Amino acid sequence: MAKLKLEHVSKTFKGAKSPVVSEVNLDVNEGEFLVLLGPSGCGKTTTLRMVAGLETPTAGDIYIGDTLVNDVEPRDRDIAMVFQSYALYPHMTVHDNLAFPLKMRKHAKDDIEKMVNSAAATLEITDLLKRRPKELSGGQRQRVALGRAIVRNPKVFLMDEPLSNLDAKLRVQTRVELKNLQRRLGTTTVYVTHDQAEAMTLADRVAVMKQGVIQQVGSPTEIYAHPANKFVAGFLGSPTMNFMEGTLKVADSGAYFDCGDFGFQVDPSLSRVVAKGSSKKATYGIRAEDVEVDKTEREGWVQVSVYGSELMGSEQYVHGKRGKMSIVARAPMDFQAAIGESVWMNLYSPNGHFFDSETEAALA
Amino acid sequence: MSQRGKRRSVFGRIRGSPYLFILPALVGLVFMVLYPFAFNIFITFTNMNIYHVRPCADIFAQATTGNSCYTINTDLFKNFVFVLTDPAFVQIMENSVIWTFSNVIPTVGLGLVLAFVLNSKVRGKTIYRLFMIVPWAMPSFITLLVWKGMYNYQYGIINALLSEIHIPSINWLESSNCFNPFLAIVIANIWLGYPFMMIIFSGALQSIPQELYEAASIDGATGITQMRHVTIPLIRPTIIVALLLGSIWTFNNFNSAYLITGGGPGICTTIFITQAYNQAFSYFSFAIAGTYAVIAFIILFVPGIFWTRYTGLTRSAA
Amino acid sequence: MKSRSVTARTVRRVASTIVKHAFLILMALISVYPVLWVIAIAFSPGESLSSPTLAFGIIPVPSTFTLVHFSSILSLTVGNGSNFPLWVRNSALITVSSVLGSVALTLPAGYAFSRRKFRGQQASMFSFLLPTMFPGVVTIIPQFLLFSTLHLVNTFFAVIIPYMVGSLSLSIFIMKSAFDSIPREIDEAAMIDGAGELRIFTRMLLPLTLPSIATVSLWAFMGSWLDWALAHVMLQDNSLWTLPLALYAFLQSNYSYYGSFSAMALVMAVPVFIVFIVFQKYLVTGLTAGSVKG
Repeated sequence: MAKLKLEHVSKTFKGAKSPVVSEVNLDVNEGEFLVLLGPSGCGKTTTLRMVAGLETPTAGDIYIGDTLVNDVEPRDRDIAMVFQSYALYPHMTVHDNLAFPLKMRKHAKDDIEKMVNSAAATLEITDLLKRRPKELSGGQRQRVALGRAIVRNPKVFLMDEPLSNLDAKLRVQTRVELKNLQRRLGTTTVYVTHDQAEAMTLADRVAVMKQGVIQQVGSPTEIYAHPANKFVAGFLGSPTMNFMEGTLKVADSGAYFDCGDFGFQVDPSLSRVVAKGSSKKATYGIRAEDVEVDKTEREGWVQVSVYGSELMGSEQYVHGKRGKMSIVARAPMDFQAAIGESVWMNLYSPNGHFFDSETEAALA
Repeated sequence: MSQRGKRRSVFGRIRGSPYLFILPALVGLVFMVLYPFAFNIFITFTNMNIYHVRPCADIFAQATTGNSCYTINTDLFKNFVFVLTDPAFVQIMENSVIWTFSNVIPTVGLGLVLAFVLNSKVRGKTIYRLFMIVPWAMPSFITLLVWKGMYNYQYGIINALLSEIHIPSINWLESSNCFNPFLAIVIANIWLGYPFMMIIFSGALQSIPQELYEAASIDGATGITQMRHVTIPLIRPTIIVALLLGSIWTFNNFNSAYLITGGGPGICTTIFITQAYNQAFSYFSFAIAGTYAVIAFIILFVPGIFWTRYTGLTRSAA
Repeated sequence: MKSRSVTARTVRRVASTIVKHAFLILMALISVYPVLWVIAIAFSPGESLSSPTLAFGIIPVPSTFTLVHFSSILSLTVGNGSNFPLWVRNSALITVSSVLGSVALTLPAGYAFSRRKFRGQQASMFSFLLPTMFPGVVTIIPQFLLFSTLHLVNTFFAVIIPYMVGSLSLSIFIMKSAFDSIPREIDEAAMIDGAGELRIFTRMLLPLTLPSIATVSLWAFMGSWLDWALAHVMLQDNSLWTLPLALYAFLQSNYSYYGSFSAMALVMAVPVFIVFIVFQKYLVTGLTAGSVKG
């Protein structure tokens, strides 16, 4: 178990015009589960591979514990990695797959047996030890890949989207087990994924990346409730946060958001950056769960036309359209509205967010 | 299921019978391959040669030297006995086996080494490859005749080069010590054969996913250890196929053994197939030639079966 | 500490690169050397093996660059009007027919073995493999007897048909493996879209297996363009000569015409070589299909 530090880490591939990873600064605490979250191509996997030693940074330093590891070979970094495709040795049995890293480090035979059996027990794959990877199901292979990682008790776990090849139900189940496992072992873990739900469930802290740049680092609740910019706000949460462009007008009577075709009052605590009496072009963001919807007209609420609803079983999401804007609101299952019907949505909420129209940074 | 005869199928139209599809090929096979094969086995039981070319009217009659037709030997296995008790037979058998091993192992080995080198980080791979394919791409009867010229005692370039480094000329092709001519044809045949192995192993190496190497390097294996634990086990099936196929082909490889030495001097470089050829076209003892061929087939049948089973070639698609 | 390990690593890397390149250069030279001789002799005057001079004492180069052998081949006439253009025509005719015929036989058979189930499938598949284990040269005798009974000796049929069939053994398996590698779902999707079996075959399966078809064609091409043994037995008139037969004639008499031989050898070999280079990677995938377990 060790802490991890990335200082000004950048990576540009040979012949590429722009860097894949740009000025990444990250501190991972001992025993922490840090998730690198972002869309495909944002550089999260490359960052992970640099920590592993499979890629060398073009600039910057990487520390594992207190050691600078830039020039250290992967096998000397005392790390373990779980690949998206598991990368199990197809010609070896599960037992030999697990034993391989120990064999490479020349552990005594008895120790190897003990460690393999203990890892197998932890992951409940003891009865699979004699089988070969091709005889296993996806979920079983995934456990073997995990087993190979934990068997050595390394300082850091690195995981590259290890759950993405599992079917949806298994994925959710394994998530919880994985979190549990990490907590028990207490090993520092860096986990890469594009699935925001996964990040929210697993992470102690999340680092959101976009095009090679870290957008925000914080605990799941933090970045969910206080996104630093529009990208982070839109990436987290399902369904995606509602965004609308308009002008924020602050007056003595309160704050008003003018979207041209319609407008509504907003919680004044959200707009403290804007001086009284002035206005500012901004983007307003509000999550579906903070939007109320009603079939009867209500004062201050915005009228929209229903164009669909998603029934989730425990609740539903109603999609409404106003002009070119669409707004999603959460409603109880018994809310019934036909397509084309007019309903009213309440966009006033203390949980709204404002983002600068140009910089997309959060206001206030 | 479906009824006999014309089958209505999911296609909604009448399907062709599969037998029709394989019929032309099968007919060709029967006439051009199976029939000669069977005929060959048949004539091993006769006394067919240049003097007795057509089958006798009464094929079971006693053989007479006067007749210009052949009969079935009263002593059925006479030819087999003749061949197997021929003192030359042991030598030919030895030659064939040594020929096979001394070719296949270096060819596979060299091909493997080259495949590894070409698979690593070197520049100009394509150009090297292009040059190294030449032995395979050029017609062998041309290049083998050039090798024959190179081995010439007086004028050949090989001896000329040896004298440059003060090694006395070696009598490659006509030495009475069988080792020299044998070595000569083996070298030429390895030259012919390694490009194929190199290409096969290149393909096999490239099919190993890069991630396995990465996982291995994180697990603590480097360079040679990686090769031992990841690369070799995964190309082992290819190596086995190469060894099997290579052995079958080499055993029956006619050109290399014949064109350079003609099987000589004496029977130094005679293997089964050159012997069969000589018997057929120099001595015109077709029955004896056939006997050698059949014996060779029996020897190769076993590895042949192994090869079929191992690669699952005859298995229907799952 | 860091700088020392980096230098050690760099030294090792440079050394290994040098060794690798030296090895590759050596192998490349050895591979090409006999062909250099053929080229040198072809472009040197004189018909002996020592016509070329040796650059650096080892590399054969034409002593004086001349095209005399090439022109003599073109003007050469044997017997009653048998000459080079005729031989080229014969070889081309035979080869093209053999290749087309081979492909025509192989494709349906490969398809049947892959997409259909029928009785005797395993047995017939195995019997196609038998010829590989049998010394080929000896089958010529019964084939000759067969064709002479049919009075087809000295015709092109006598060579085309054996050539077509000769390459069948491996070719059928190459095609079968190729068809096997196309998932049945594609057939099924096309079925649902309304395509009949023939259309599925021609529009879907064939285009997807072009590399293997190329391999099969290459195999048949090499078997017929380069064959001497069968042609020698079956084609006795020199008006029917193929290039290999003509080539051999140069070395038959007591005095071997190496110059002309080399020139003609080059002419024969160049198309093979080019076709080969283009198709070589397909050849291998076809042959080892199924033997590399991922």
